Amino acid sequence: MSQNTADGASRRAFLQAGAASIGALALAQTSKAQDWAGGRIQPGPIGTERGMGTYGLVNRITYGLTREEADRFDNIGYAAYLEEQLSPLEIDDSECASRLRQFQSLDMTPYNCLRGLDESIDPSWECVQSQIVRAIYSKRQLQEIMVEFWLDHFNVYIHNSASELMPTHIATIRKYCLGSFHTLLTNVVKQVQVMWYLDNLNNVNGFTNQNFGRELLELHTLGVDGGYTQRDVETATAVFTGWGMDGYYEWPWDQTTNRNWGKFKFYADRHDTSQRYFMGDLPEHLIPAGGQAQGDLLLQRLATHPSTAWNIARKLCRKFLSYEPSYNTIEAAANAFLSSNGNIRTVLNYILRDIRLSKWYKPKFKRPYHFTISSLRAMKAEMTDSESIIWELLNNMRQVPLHWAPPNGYPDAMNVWVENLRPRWYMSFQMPMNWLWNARVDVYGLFKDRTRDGVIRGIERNLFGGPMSAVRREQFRGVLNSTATNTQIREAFGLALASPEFQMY
Amino acid sequence: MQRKVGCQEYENLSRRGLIEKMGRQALQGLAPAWMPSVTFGSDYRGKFGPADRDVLISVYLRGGCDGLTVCVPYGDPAYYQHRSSLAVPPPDQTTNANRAVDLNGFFGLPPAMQPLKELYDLGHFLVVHATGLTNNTRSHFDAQQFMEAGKADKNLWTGWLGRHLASIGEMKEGALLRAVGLSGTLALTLEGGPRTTTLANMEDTRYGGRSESEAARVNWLRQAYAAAQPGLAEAADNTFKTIDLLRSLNFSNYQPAGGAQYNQPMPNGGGTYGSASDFGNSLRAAASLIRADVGVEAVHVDFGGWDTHEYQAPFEYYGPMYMGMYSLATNLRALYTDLEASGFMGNVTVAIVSEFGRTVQQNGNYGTDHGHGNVMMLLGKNVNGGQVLGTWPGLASELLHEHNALAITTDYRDIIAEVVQKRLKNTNLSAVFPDSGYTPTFRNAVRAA
Repeated sequence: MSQNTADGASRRAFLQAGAASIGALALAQTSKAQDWAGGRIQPGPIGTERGMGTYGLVNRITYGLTREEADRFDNIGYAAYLEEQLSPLEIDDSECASRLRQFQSLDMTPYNCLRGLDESIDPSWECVQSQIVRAIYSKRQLQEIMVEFWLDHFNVYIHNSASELMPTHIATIRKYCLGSFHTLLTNVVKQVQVMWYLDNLNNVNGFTNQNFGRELLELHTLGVDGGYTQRDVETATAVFTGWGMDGYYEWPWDQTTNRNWGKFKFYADRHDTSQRYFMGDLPEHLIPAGGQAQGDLLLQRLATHPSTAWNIARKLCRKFLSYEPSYNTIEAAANAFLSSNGNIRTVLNYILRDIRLSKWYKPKFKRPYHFTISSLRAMKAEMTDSESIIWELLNNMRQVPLHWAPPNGYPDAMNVWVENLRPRWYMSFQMPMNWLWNARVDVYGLFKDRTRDGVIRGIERNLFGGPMSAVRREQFRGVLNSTATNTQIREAFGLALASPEFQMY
Repeated sequence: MQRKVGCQEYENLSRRGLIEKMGRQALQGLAPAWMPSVTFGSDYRGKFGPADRDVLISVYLRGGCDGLTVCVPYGDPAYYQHRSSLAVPPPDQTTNANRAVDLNGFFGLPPAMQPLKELYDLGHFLVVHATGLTNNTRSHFDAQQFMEAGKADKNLWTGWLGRHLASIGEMKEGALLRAVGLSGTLALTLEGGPRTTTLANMEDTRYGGRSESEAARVNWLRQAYAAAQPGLAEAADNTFKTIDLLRSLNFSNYQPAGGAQYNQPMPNGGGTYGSASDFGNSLRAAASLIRADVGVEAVHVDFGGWDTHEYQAPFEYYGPMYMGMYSLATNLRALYTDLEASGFMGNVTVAIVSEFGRTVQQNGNYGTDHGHGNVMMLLGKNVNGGQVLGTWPGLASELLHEHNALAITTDYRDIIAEVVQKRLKNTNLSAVFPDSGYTPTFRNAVRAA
């Protein structure tokens, strides 16, 4: 399972051509014609090579098919469904909002999180729980998928940062997740949590720390092959000296009366004002001597750099198409990024506009979090409290939200996750029996009649999104009487959740 | 898997599953090595065959551990010039514990590493210094990938240990599992290895659902996954085998031998936590797999938390550096005791690496940034220990790599390759390190089996 077909050499070719191809989206449309060959879709279960299913788009841009989503897709069609999901604020999400009312810290400022003085409110715990509630129940599914994508991209390990800042970190990402990348980047950096986690709050003139400067270039923007050097890491480090957090030097924090505690603050007296050159020595590479404007300028250069366009486009193609998207596909997506001033919605619209026609649209393995959420969604589980979902299931699968310690985010790869199947099967078999804590399913509401074929149709409609293979059908027929017993039905749904098809999307 | 499976077949499968289950219980009569009722004869270790090869425990210190603290070059005066407040003072005759204990007149171990001093003196613990990945990257993720793959090649997605396993026959005939990674995700080091899996928790072997129907459901899954796509089919097969194996081992009742104590409390009485305590659990699990003698020939352990950009304080009990080193040293010591008392240590080699060392100069936050050359360590009775191996390039400013990092004088692959050939008995080093630009130079780090 190789993970990188679009290798450094290809990327360099893009960069060399980059200047010429900015704005040349029309050109890209031609070059990708070979990638979008057309007509390859047969009806079949989602996640199989045979056919990516009628509801392939639904499964790719949501946390898994539900009948409601499938019906919506049937009613309005591919293009309208995609457009709707790309405009999340126009989707009524009041039901999810009412579920979120139990979490009191979501709209609190860092100061209020800090000074809430109510020990029953734990912002970091509420962040983990509310992410799960949204993933299962929000109708703004693509938005939530993108929030997870950017939380990985701008990863912050919750135990190596300030939990009081986490609600605003997530809210910032949610607010800007589909807009301009420059706006997203700037707001995420200035929300402080990333700088806290990567030690930039202590990166001050004369006492520098390269952690943030390096990861900003390597992970958040240019990518590791983006053409920068150790000197550029040092430049970025110098430029961001003095970028910090209001109240950071106050002690003790929990006694503070500074209402701006936790907000971005530029400390001019801790900033290295000297002029720098970034990624070259020509006049256009100059970052003039100055204060905060140096960092703003660098963020702007980074956000619009062709290497950044490539890095973001590559990750998005990998996320939504397949582990090994072609060079041409990434190039076209990167061009969409550059010609739209880094508009994420435009790039997504390009990648997703008809994935069924792309030969690079291939089955992917659900990461543990995705598997867990999709099974709860497919089974219409009513989750009253996510605590056991987190500790009994996600923790054993090693993907609790906000708990990835290194700065690169949970990996989007099959090989690292696939060996840990047992906890998935455990969840699959427990849930239809209603043996999970605090998550109830009405398995009898998932099919029309309890004949053998009626139950199988229920599995196809709710879990697979298309007809299962003849072999699998025979396997299910083997475990169901002509009139299925209650236990047989529950165990058949368990087998379906545990099956190879349901691990893929 | 085109076979028709009807209702009757399901019942048959259930029965067959029951027979298998009974067979497993019978197998449990061959009680695992740590069960108190079992005493082993002196020939127990001979199950590997007297002239056979070692089990390898591969430890990866994620984050880039600071080799200049793990093994202190107190004899190099430049060390103290670069590290005004992070340096470990040289050994002397005073009773002040916050200083190095001497190894060889030039290098010393900091207090947290001193549990390994005895093994060093026995000649079973080896430090290689100024070693590492010769590629210049200072990215964690590139450096880890290149090191684990064994080549600076972004398109090589198998690991050196996985390729070792793939290029040599199994150590024990019919072994269900040949290699295990002790975490929830598979490390690249092991990628490409046959019968290799990852375990988040050796004690949890539940499939879920009703116990009466478990065997039948598992057989259903076996059929379904046998025809699944590549990757998924093998992973499922490994999972079935692993669960069978673990259920026969009764890991939750594991008793370390020789009074070995994993996860000891720290000198101030506090416990280690996070990745530091996970490491103790992982070594305990590794020892149990080795002592169960089920043919597992490689165990990979990830140990995170070494990216000490801030507050590296080598003497502070709750600092990340102290706790990491303390866990490393005490748990390796416990592993040695456990395996020595049970007669296995003579057939085990432990290799410890990290992606890069850290900057020689401390940064502005009592920490260090990403550097280059580093230590690696070997533990085993056939290791040529009791020495700090390698050519010391010096820490004077003009001698540093890119002005701020320890230079590398020994390619880490030289040491690994020697272990692979001499202790793991695999002479196919070009399969393990498929790099046409690299030929291993043995450094006499281990003795041949």
